[in-house]
Amino acid sequence: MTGLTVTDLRVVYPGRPPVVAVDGVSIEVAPGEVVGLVGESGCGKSTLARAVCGLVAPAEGSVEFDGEPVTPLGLRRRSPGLTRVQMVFQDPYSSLHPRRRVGAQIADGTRAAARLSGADRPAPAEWLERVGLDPGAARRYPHEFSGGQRQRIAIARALAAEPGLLVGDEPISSLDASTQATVAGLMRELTVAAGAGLLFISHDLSVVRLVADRMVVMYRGRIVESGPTAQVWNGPRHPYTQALLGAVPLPDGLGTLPAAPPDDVEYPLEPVLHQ
Amino acid sequence: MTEARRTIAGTTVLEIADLRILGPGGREILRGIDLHLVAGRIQGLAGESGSGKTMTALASLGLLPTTLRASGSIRLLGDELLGMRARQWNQVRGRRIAMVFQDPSTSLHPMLSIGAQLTDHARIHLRIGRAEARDRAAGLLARVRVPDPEGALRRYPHQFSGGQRQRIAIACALMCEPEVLIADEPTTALDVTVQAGVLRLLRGLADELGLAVLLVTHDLGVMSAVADDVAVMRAGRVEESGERHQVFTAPRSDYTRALLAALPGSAEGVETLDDVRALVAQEQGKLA
Repeated sequence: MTGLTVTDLRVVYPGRPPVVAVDGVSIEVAPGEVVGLVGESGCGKSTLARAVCGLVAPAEGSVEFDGEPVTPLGLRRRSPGLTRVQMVFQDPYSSLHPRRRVGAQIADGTRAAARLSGADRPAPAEWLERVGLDPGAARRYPHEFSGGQRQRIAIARALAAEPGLLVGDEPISSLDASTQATVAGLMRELTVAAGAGLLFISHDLSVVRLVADRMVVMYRGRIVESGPTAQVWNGPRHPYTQALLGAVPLPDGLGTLPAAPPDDVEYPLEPVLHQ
Repeated sequence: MTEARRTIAGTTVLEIADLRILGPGGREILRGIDLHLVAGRIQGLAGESGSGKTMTALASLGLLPTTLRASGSIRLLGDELLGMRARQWNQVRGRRIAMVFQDPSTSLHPMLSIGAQLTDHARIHLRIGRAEARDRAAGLLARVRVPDPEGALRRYPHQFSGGQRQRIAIACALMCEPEVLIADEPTTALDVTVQAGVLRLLRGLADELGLAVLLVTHDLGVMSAVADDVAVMRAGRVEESGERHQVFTAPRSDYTRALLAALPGSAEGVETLDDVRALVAQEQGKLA
């Protein structure tokens, strides 16, 4: 089995009572496939992303990448195979090291890839060019760039490690609206071109609609609807998905107030799976 | 709740003319802003981060950092606000012009009950007693659809959800029956389903109370849903300003057009993956 396979994953945070953040989720991301994961705050989508990268330990179930279990990140260097799962975080202000040159940070990714196979790698400058930045920027520091540019650098660093799976946890939510679609599109193009899978997590449904092949909707730690993006977007069948899509305000200039579901409504947890 | 001081819908309430702000070292932050806030209408202020949206809002409340110098004119029903002393501002801020901030978990005081936060400024501004203030607060909480308004007055911010907190912050802003409500990214911290409720509330307040609302947001979807008039800012200037439908469907400025073209779901915007590819290619092209 190649790509990512998550089976019946449960993640529990300790507390009184314990918080079940992810409650029996199964999801697959094949190489070259873009899966969009949507849901509101607290639905468990970030926890799922962190479990996929080994940043939190599952309570039950398994996370496997290319048939190898993803072990929780410890103090020691993880097995080289797992550097093939890379992550792009939400906030490019805290995910880049402020005191290291951008080129050096991208070279970290390149080095991770070189440990797997010794072939020649593109230089950091070339990666910068691929994400649409000036190749001369390699000598500069993160503070010299705007938010959108930094996120491009974070994407370049992740892709330089030649991942088999790229996980983006809200990678566009801290960017200006006008650059969101471009950065999301760039992520898709570069990941698919490299033959890697992309798990794209976002609360912005209109962008997910554009870049994802498959769309997965999470609610209260579970997947409530999943299927090809066009099908889910055009014909949502789960009441929660319907409420979520109905609440998105569209910039069409018509002054249509989005539908507001009542505050205390509880949706069924039975999933709807499109073919 | 008393029905005092309602501005007649259609009156210009706040008039910002040629507002300029200079930063340290003569850096121009605002380069001449003109805006009219009209009773009963929502004026949207859009633009990217750093374009000066928030500075415009803060200047209208006399909350600019002291290192900045403002010139031009901000008139509230004829009274000039720029250059007023701190004591004079105290008669305006929170009373005639109120503000709702982005994040309700930081704009409400965590250690004070909702009742205390809603009534404090109203008792000072309006010189009303504790009981009257609490009645008014309960009435407003009901108006913004917070469940069990009487009980809510005795509770604390952490006992409410994010959406309810923002509703409470809005009720707090309305306590002194302001003529102008400034909302700076009021739904940015909220989930989309909760956002929908808050947007409906803002629209209702403008329509029913005749409030003049300045809605600062970078989200053009939000803008399209509730704003009557839209101004698009860029680098300290108003790039385009007009009635909502016109700005969204027939933008006059190239900048607005580019902004809309980059958005999924807008009239001329990206609709398919190929559009996104074109957008990415166009950006790469700019570099080459």
